[in-house]
This record gives sequence, C-alpha cells and structure tokens, in this order.
Amino acid sequence: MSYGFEATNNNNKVLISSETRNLHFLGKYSSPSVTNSATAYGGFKELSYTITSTVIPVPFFDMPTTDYYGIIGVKNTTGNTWVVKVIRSGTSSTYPSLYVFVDARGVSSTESYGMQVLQNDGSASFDSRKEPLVITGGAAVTHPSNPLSSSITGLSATQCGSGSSHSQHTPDVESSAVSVGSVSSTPIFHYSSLAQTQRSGTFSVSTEECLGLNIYNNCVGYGTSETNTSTYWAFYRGGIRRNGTNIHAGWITVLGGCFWSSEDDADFFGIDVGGGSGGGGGFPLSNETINLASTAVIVGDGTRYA
Amino acid sequence: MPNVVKPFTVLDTKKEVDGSQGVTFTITKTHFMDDATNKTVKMTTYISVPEGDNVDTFLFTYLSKGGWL
Repeated sequence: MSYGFEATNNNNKVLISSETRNLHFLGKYSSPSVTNSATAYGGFKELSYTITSTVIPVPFFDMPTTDYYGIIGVKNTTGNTWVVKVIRSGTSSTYPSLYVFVDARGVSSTESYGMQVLQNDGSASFDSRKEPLVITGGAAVTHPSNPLSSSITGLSATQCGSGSSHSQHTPDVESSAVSVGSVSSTPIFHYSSLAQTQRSGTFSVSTEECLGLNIYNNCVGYGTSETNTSTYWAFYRGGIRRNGTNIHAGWITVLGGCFWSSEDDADFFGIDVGGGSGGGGGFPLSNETINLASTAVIVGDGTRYA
Repeated sequence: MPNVVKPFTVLDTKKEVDGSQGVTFTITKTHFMDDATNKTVKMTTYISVPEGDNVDTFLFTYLSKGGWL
C-alpha cells in the first residue's frame, strides 16, 4: 500500500484500512415472522427477518434461551429488501433479536464529528459515527456426527403407526463446550448452520399363516403372508447454544416423516398364486452427515448497539 | 465375539468425526404364534459404536438389552 490509512493491533492484524471495508451497525430487528415450525422431535421454528439495505447485510443474533440457533440464509428478495432466516430448536415463542451490520456505505449518520477512512473511490471504509462492529471473541465449532445417542428402535411397522409423537428422533448429542472468552450481558453471535444430517430406521413385520398342514414349520397346502414395512426419518441442521461463556454445537430437527408399504402374498403347495411387489432406489441421504468441517462463530457485544 | 452365526447383519460402517464407528445393521426375530402362524419382525437402524469397541460384541450386548436376543 503506497498511500492510505491502516490501523493494526498488537498482533499486526488489520483493524481499519482504506483498502477494506469495516462493518457498521444498521439496525436491530426483534419481530420476525414464523415461516416454518414443527413440534415433533424437540421442535423447531424458522424465523424470517425482513431488512432494507443497499448493501449486503451481515447478521448476528442473540440467544434468549438455552435452545440451539443458527442462520440458514441471507437472501436478496427484491431491490434493497433482504430476508434473513434463523432457525431455533424448541417450541418457545421467545425469539432472538437480529443485529445487522453492513459496510459504511449502507448506514447513514447525523453525527457531525468523528473519524472517516475513505477508499480511493471516495466511499467510506470506516466511519466512527456509524457504530462500527467490535468483535469481542470467536471460536470454531464442530458438530457431532450422530445426533442420536442410541439407535432408532421400537417403532410400529404397520402404516407408520407410531406417528411423530415418539421421541426416537429427538436429538440428544452435542459437542463438548467451546469457550468464546468473556461476554457481555447480551452477547451476539454470527454462525451459519452448514452441517446437516439424516437419520432413519426401518421396521417390518411379516405374518405367515398356514391354512394347510404345518409340518416342521413347512406349510403343505395353502399359505398366506402379509408384510408391513414403515421407515421413519428425520432431517437435522446444525445449531449452537450458549452456556455462560461456552457454546455447544448440536442439532435442530427441521423435518421428520415416515413412509410405509404393505404386501400380501399366497402360495398353494409352494406355487405362488397371488401377490408380488418390487422396489428400488433410495434417499439422497440415509443415515449420513455432511458439511462437518469446523464452522466459525464470531462474537460481539449486543449492549453496544441499541 | 465367538465364531457363531450372528443374529444380526451389519450392512454398512463409516468412520464418524469423533472416531466412533457408525454402523447400519439389520436384525430379524421370528415368533411362533401358534401351530399355523409365524410372525417375523425386522429392524434396520443405525448406531454409533465407540472407537476401539468390537462392533459385533457391542451390537450383541446392545440388542440383548433391548430384548432382541
């Protein structure tokens, strides 16, 4: 850099530079709309926050409960309108506030003094009047591979008879604690939910009835059989929860369901006289976990921003 | 585990991020209801086996506790 301005910390890391753009506070959003929800398997809610910004918003959220939270999308819907989607576990109606930061071009200020750092095109890269973002801590989290500490077991094989009221899919595994350093009374977090996993269990029951002679468990004469099969599944996305100055990486159940099939068959003296079935293919994800690379969690101080 | 006919079948294993072994397995159990009727139940599911544990021994113990064996 032959000209311009650069401020570094004692680790020689850049704090302010005329070559980069710092983030500044755009606004706090506390009234999301609930755009998706479920109560099964621990419950979840998808919260949508609508933001008006001329530049790309970078969202942080607070965690008002001990549930898991994560950002799943920042989308420019039209013009200067953006929608930020946050998911949370549980069924509570307590929602996080979203603290949104943008570069200095996207924020206005009425203050008449302060410090501005300009880029060579004349636009501000830093403006002390616009509540610049201060990072107070950070960490990297890795989710556990399996959201369930035990296998899925004991469910009905007949026409998905266990429904979704069971707890076999409720996630109960999280990472060990990761410290984010000292935090304020309202720490705010930037964390993108990238990890995903699916878990499923298949149950079948076959009933064979011999209407002829049953000789050493071999049916001689007319026999029938009926098979019912049900596959219960759930899809999870990663989330983080706060416990004091620590965070844990766990799972949020975002979708669950079941499908079933049944088959009748009959034979007479070993000759198939009815029934039959076929099948093939599979899910794109079946008992798989993807995107498990460690994910950054950036921490700020929400009390600095009104 | 002794060399016996196992009552379960391991369909797939994968290494999990913490070193555990992710195991997809199936198990079948037949009940003789009466002279004319048999009922066979089958389960296919997934479980994490701790790193270093023998998969067969772990599953045998796990399924025994669950009443499958």
